[in-house]
Amino acid sequence: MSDVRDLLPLHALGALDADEAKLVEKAVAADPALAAELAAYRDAASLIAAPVAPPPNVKLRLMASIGAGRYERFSDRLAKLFDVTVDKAREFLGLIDRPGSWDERGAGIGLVHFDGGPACAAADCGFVRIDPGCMFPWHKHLGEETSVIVQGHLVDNSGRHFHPGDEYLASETSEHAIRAEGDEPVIFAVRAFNGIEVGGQPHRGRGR
Amino acid sequence: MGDDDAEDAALVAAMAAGDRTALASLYERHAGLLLGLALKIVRERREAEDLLHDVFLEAWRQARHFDPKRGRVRTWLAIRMRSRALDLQKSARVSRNAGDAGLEVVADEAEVVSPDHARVRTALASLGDDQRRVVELAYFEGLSCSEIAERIAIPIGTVKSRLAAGLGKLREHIGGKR
Repeated sequence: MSDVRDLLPLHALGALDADEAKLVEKAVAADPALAAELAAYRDAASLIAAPVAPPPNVKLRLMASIGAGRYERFSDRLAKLFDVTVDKAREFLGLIDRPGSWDERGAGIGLVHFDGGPACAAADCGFVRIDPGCMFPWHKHLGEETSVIVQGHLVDNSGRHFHPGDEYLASETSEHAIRAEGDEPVIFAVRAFNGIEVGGQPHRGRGR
Repeated sequence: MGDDDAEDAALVAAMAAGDRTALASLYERHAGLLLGLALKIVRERREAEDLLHDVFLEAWRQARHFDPKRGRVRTWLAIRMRSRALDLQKSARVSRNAGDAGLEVVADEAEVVSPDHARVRTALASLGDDQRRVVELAYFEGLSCSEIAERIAIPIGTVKSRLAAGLGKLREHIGGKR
């Protein structure tokens, strides 16, 4: 097995130790015929696994991540809100279509948590979903909170209505309850400093 | 280069120029192959789906670096998937069943990805158990020849010859040998 050609299939399967792999890479870089042979072995290896049909949400998420998702019009605003690049904001928006992202809190409330940029280091950042007809219960803001509605129709206890694109500012110590109107879930992006207090109990981060 | 390979390469060139629909098309052509590969390595559906998203996002961002002279698009994608999946597996965030992992040929023909894929799958099934086992231990578990030798208690020279012969047989079944 001293001939480099004999090592090609082993390299294609990733089975060589580091020294042998380096030897093969060097030889392949200098010889197009060897490179073509390695490519053919790698191609064969790539086809070993049985195909499995992916669920539709993976493609939805991927399209969101490259700026072709259904919430794309919010990517610039979310980038500013969360102090991240537009590409990162797009990846956040893609999380809406990833079922595993949602921390289901019961009573029709779901939360997605992610880390914002440096200016948001002290803030809880994420998405909140309120299912149709459900309510996020009365709570007090322990710091300034900014929300951007990305889907649905939100109403607060004082009768103010919010729609996609609207911004909802809640100052420190302010209190409210909010509910989802209409037939589709409300989803909003939220940046909350210091968290909130529900029923006298503080809630922060993933435990919110 | 076959027609499918040329179409794949054209899609990647379009991606490099910012064509998002090209990525959607490439995804339709290869997502099944890559999800199957990820599942064989990480064995957890949600992790595998995240990897599928991440690999295609990487392909979108790295499209301008793809060189069709160096191999097929599907191989370019599969190498990225295998690398990410093995990294994830080794990070111990995914539990796996050591020992028997990779032994069985999963009879999950959810979709026919390409004639080449069908032929390689058939060829894999026709390999002897000994050959198939070492190939799968290397590719799906990321074991080196010496690690495989230790795992199944056979000489390292035997591991190498089984790997070479096994992958050699699979390669013979791909149309348009490069």
